[in-house]
Formats: sequence, structure tokens, C-alpha cells
Amino acid sequence: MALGRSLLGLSPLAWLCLLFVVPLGFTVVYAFAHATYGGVQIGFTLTNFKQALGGFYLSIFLRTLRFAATGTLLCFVVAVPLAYFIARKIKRFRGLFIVLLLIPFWTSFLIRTLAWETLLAPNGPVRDGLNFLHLHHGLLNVLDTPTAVFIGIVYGYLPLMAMPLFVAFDRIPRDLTEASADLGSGRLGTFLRVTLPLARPGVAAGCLLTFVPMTGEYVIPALLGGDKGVLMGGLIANQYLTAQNFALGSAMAVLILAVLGVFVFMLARTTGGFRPVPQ
Amino acid sequence: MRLLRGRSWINGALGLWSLAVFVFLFAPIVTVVVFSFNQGVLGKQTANFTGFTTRWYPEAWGNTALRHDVGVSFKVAVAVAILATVLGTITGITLVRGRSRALRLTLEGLVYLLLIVPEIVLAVSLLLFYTKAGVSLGMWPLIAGHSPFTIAVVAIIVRSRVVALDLATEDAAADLGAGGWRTFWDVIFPQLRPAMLAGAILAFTFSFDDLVVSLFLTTPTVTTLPVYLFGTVRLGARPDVDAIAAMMLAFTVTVLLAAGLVYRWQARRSGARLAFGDVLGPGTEGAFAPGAP
Amino acid sequence: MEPTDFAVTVVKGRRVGRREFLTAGAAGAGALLLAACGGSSTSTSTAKASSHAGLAKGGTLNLWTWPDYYAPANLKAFQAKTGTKLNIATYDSNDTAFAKLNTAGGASFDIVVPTSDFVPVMAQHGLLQKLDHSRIPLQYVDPKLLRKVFDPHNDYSIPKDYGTIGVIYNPAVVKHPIRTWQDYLDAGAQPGVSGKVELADVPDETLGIALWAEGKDWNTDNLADLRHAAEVMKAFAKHVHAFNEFDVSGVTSGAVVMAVVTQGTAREMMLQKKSLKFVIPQPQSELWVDNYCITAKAPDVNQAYSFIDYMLQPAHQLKDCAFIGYPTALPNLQSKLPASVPLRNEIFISPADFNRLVPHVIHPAIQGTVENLYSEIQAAAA
Repeated sequence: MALGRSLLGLSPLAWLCLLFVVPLGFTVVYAFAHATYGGVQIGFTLTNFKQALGGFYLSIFLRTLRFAATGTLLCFVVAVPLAYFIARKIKRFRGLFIVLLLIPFWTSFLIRTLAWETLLAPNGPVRDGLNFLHLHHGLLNVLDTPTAVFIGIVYGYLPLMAMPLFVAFDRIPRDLTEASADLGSGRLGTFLRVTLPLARPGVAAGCLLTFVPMTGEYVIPALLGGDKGVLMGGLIANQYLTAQNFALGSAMAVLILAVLGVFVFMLARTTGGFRPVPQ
Repeated sequence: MRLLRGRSWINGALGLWSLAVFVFLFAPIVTVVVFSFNQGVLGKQTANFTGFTTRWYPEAWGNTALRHDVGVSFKVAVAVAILATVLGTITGITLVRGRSRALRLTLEGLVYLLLIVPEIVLAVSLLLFYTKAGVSLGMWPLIAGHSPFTIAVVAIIVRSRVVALDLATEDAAADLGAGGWRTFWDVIFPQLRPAMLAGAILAFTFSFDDLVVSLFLTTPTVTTLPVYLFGTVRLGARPDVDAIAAMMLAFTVTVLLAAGLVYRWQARRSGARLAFGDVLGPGTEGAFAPGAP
Repeated sequence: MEPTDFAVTVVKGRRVGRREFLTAGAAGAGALLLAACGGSSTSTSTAKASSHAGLAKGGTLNLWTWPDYYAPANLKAFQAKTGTKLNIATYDSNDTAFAKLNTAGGASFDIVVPTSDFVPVMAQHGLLQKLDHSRIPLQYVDPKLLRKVFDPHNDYSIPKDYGTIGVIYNPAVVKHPIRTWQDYLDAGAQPGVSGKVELADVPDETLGIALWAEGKDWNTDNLADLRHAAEVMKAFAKHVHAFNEFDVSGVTSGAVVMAVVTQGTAREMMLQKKSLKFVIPQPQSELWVDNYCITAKAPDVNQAYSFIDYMLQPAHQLKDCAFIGYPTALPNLQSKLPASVPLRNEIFISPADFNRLVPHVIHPAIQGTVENLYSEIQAAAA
């Protein structure tokens, strides 16, 4: 029985090793290899890394980090009131609200993004609505700007931020917040000094699940942002697809993994790990 | 009392914000449904409503490539959901109950690594791996390609639930003579079920929506909806895409309604305590707070 | 009649297998098939049976192509007529198609439809097989599209449809007349136009604009020329609203007053806004041709020839042209296309313009640099 259990426990490890660790190994090997068009020559060289750390790429990398940080912050700001409301203010039909929150995500994300292209078109429905309400006149100049991109980003990543936040807010016992209020703290004070710190693991998880995938995002900015500006994900994709330079693409990938690994490690440290706060 | 006055103002504001978010979330969905009836120009979708027509529905149904891709997406997503749930649950349990510390730590590191890796890197490395290993692409290599990330998601959700399991019940079962497997099936599994369901739903969604990995791993016979849609961006999408989306929505809502009704009926029967929403069931608090105490 | 029923037969004193029988006998069998199945819509195909393969029955065909690229009626009729099961997979760019063909993903595709610049690249990597011209009804392909620089003997590709890129603009806003590519660059910098200009989201076309404006060959592999062109476009980037060659709502609403688009896209825009003008600027522009190619490892070669044969038939080419809005390879297509097709003349390119068009050639050695230069231009626009 014990052997059976151990084998069972090892099976995901075996699967992941085969399908994740080994392929990543290939990437690492390619990162040090010599580049050819459409393939590599196995060898050892640091040219790819030197290129990847070159001026232009570095600036794109920093730009991507800034982009992901902004997107994460926006998601956070939008999600917190929503998660808090559902977690602590709604007693009945909570499941219904959550399901409603999830329904949009069962159509394909590309269809939703294309719908935003229609909505935000210069002469599209949003423009018509705003003009009708006299809040705006003329053509809507939102599409192909960073505004449209962040609308698309927040739209796509909201559940990843909102779910962990919701769960974290849900766990905070009412007596703690009530005690804080009894001790004279205002509602905002209670929120900032009691609720938010207690929700720390959820905040950390939400930020992780949002920030990290966002660093690889390039489809939404291409569709909604007029493909101006370049992001890391797109740069790597271009290396693999257009430039057919697998070696450089792999080197960029390895660098990203290293940096993000450090980030997650630091996030774990500063938030005291992702451990749930003891009740 | 200061509390009460503050409460109603804040409640109103929070409620209003949430309503705005829901409107925001559903705006594109409504757009998709409305514009699925749009005439369009020269067969392409337009930003203004140019005329009402229902022709896109039969045309979408007759677009065999589109329909085939939706079917493949669906089949792959279901397979991924099942695979990820099984392997993810095992991982989640092992992360907490695994006997060897080395195993637990390795798995934990792997799970976090899976979340960190940008999709493009995973996609390309898998394609390189398949090429070198001489594996020809198809349904199962694609499913396998979606699995790492989804396994991690399920593992994290399940782990947080395992952490909160009631050990007393398990001890009682052991005292009554139940073997390991019996204990699992009758005691642990029912408590894990809601977390597994949540994980399965998320795994399904990730797989169905996946673009980047699928772009690299699809073949003539196994190609998914997002890949198809991405190709239409260059030459302009036809409204039949919106019609298919509307049909998928109708299907999903129907299934959800049915599932929700079944779940409520079951929950009422077993008298389970409902905490994290009526749908996702008791004790999924901490679903996204990875880490074992 | 079912050719595949004959597993083995004896021809010229030698036992042949099923495949060889199909190939050897297809010419005659094909004609009989067509007659037996109620005939095709053109009688010339049976008369010319000896010069094309005819239709293979049954089997499957894996088509690897752009989405929405064939008239649905044609696909349905092909499947009904031949009983061949059609599997269609789509790609979003030639790069993706090439990348996948070049790896494990390429194994089971039969037909791929690359644009002209990718034909030599794919052929050089051994991804395409040489075509047997006796199985293709070349009389339905316009000679002006054959024997082009990207495939001088059409060993690997048969034209499907073609087009060019040019400038669409609103003459009421863009007062500067657009005759050359330099005019485009100059007009884009004018107040009132700046910030409302679009470029195509294609690296070589973007660099090409600067090269054409200076009278250079856009297929140059001279890095100095390319870098200089990139600098010109980087300076221009601040006037760019978006890199999008299909922004119909942008142009028709007036948010964009000048854009680089294909003639088919221009037609769609002009249909919604009559005052727009489309011009193919001097001295040169691109000729792109999308081609039928058969992959090197294609498992269903007979079905592939069958499909190409079917789609090249005049009636089917007319349907395709009307559906996709681009000229297919049929000779004298312009005179044959029904008048009921909206703005039909905008689909075509005048002979004078056509002679100025140059297909793009990819140089693998510098492709990485080209891509990086384009990324820099994109970054400069942000």
C-alpha cells in the first residue's frame, strides 16, 4: 500500500519531468548553441545571451516589466472592491455571482478581444453611446492606444486577480474587523490595517497569477494597441517564428525565467510566503 | 451609530462598482451576440450594425473548418480538464501528505516554475522536444502540451483544501477498520470534490482559450478555435465567428444552469455547509493561497 | 467506377500497385468519373482530360491554409463530387506555416498555401515536392503569374490568387497628391494627417516603402541600405496611428486618413466610403501571389492534385474570386467576373501597374536583422 501510494505520488512528477523539465532542458541547451536559420548547431557560445542583453532588448524587457506592473496594479484596483463586495456583503446567491463572473470566460478570449475592437472602434457602439449621452463628441480615439490595451488586459486577467482576493477576503473572520471598528478605527482604517494585511496571501497569489503571465503577453497589445511598441513575449515569438533564430529566442527565454524566478522568490519572502495567515 | 451610517454609504459604492464591473465584463458578450446578426460588408464584420440577418448561423454551422476547430477545442479542453484534475489532485495531496520532504519540495518548486514560465517558452520548448523525440503532433501531444500549466493550477487549489481537511474523520474511519483506499474514497474525496471541480473548471477554460501553445502544436486534423480566429485577424473576421460564439454561450449557460440545479439539489440532500458560494461548495477558502502551513 | 477497387493490375507486363494504377490510369479514369458523376460544370475539362489528372475518389486531404480562403460552395461541391474528406487547418502567417512545416508539426499536411516569398525558402528546406505539370490544368492559370522570380519553372507552386499593396487615402484631408512612395512619406508628416496614418504590420513592406522611395530594390540584402531604410521609417513612426493593414472601421470612420493596404482591402473600404482613393505608388510595389504547393511528405498526393485541379476550373475560380475579393489566377478573369460583384473593377490591377510590381524575396541570412529593425520601428511608434 505504501509503495502503491509512493508510486501514485510520483506519477505527476514523472509526467511533469517528461513534458516540462525535459523540454525546458532543450531550451537551455539551445540558448547556448549556435544559431542558424530554422535550427541550431549544438555547441557552446554566449553570443545569444550577449545579444539578448543588448541595448534594444534590454529596453524592451524593462518596458515589459513596467507594462505588466501597470496592468497588475489596474487589475488589483478593479478587483479589490468587487472581491470585497462579493466576499463580505453578499449573503445569498454568492455562487450565482461567481458563476456570472465566470460566464464571459467561456467564450474564446480572441472573440472577446475582437469584440472590444468593435466596441472601441472610432465609430463603434461605445462612441455612439457616449455621443448620445453628450459625454463625448466626434470619433472615439481609444483603439490603438495604450488605453485600449489596458482595457483588454484588465478584461482578460481580472478573474486571475479577483478569485484569490475573493477567497482571501472570505476567510477573514468578522470578529476581527468588528473588533477593529469597536476600537475606534474608521472603515477605511479597518480595511487598510486589518483586512488587507490579513488578505496578504490572496493578494500575493493574485499578483503572482496576474503579473507573471502578463510579462509574456503580446496578443492583446497587437490587436488593441495597433501593434505599436514591442513587448518581450512578442520579441521571443518573433525570434522563433519570423527570424527563425531558435538560439536567440531560447536565450531570451532563459533570461526571463531567471528574472521571474528571482521575482517570485522575493515576493515569497516579503509577503511571508504564500502561507495562509494563521487564524 | 457611526458603523451603520458608514456602512450604507460604503455598501452602495461597492455595489455600484461591482455592477460597473459586471457591465464591463458582459459588454463584449452582448456585442458578440448582437453583431452575430449583423449583415456586415462583403462578408466581413463591421463596427456598425449594417443590417439584420440570421444567415451567419447556418453559415457558421456549415463552415466545416470552424465547426471542426470548435469541436477539437472542446474535446481537448475536456481531456485536459480530466487529466489536470487527476494529476493535479495527486500533486496537491502529495504536496501536503507526501512522505518524503525532498519529493514535496521538488513538486512545490515545479508547480511554481510552471506558473512562472511564459507560455511562448513552454510552447516552443515542447515543439522542439517533440521534434527531437520524433513525436508526431496530434491530439495527445496537444493535450499533453496544455497539461503542465493546468496541473499546477489544480494542484494549488487542491493543496489548500487538503491543508484544511478534518483529520478526525479520517482517524475515525481508520478506527472503524477502513483501509487506505476506502478512507480516501469515502472520507477525503467528498471533501476535495469542490476544489477539484473548481480546478477542473479553470483547467477547461485555460485549455479552451489557449492560443500560444496551440499555435505551435496543432496539425491539419487537430486545430483549435483560437488558432483559427488568430488567422482571421489578418484578413478580417466574418460574422460567422460571432454566431459560433453565441451558440457556444447558449450551450455553456444551459450546461451551467443544469449543473447548478443538480448541485443545489444534491447539496440540499446531503445538508452540507455552504461557505464559498453555493456552486463551489464548502471549504474552498484558500483556494488561491498556495502554501502549506 | 472505383479505381481503388483494383488493388493490383497488370500494365505493360509488370504488376503495379494501387498507387501506380491510379497515377497511370487516372487520366482515362478521371474522364470517366467526371462523366459518370454527372459531369463538371465546364465541358472543357473532359475534352482536355489528357492534360490534367482528373479527380481522385475517396481518401482524405489535409489542407493547410489561410482561413476563409475558398468559396464554401466549392469546398462542399468538391467533397460531394469526390467523396474526399477535407481537413482544413489554418495559420495566421507564413512564418507560422514555415516554422511548423519545418518541425514535427509538418508531417501530415498535404497542401500548403504559402505566399510567394516563402516558396523558395520552403523549397530550399526540402519542405515541398516538385509538381507534375501534366496533372495540373495550366491552361486555367494566367501566364503573367507563371515563371516568376520566386519559382522560375513553377517546380513547386501554382498560383491561386494575387495582389499588391498600395495607399488608400481620403483626398479631402490628404491634400498632397499621392503618386510616389515619397509622397506617402511626405503627406504623412503634414499636420492633419500625422497621427492618422497606418502602415502594414509587415516588416518587409514597411522597410520596402523607404527603399522604394529612394528608388532602390526592395529585395536588397545590403545591410547598410536596410539600416538606412529603417532610420527613415523610424523617423516616420511618430506619425503612425497603428500597424494594421486591415483597419476598415478606422479608415471608413475617418480616424485614419491614409493607410497602406492591399487592393482587396481598399475595395472593402471604398465600398463603405465612396470618396476614398486607392493608388499603387511609383516607382514599384509588391506583387504577392498565394500558391498551391504540395508538401514533401504529403500522404495524399492524388487527392492533392485532385483538389488543385478542381479549384482551378474556371467556374470555381470565379466563385473563389467573388468570395475572397482577390483576383484568382484565371486568364481574362476581369472580363469573366459577373457584373453583380460589387466594385468588381477594384479587385484587379491594371496592366501598367502590374508591370511595376516586384515579388518579395527572403534572404534567410539577414531575416533576423530585418525583424529586429522592424521591432525598432514599432518601438519608435509607441
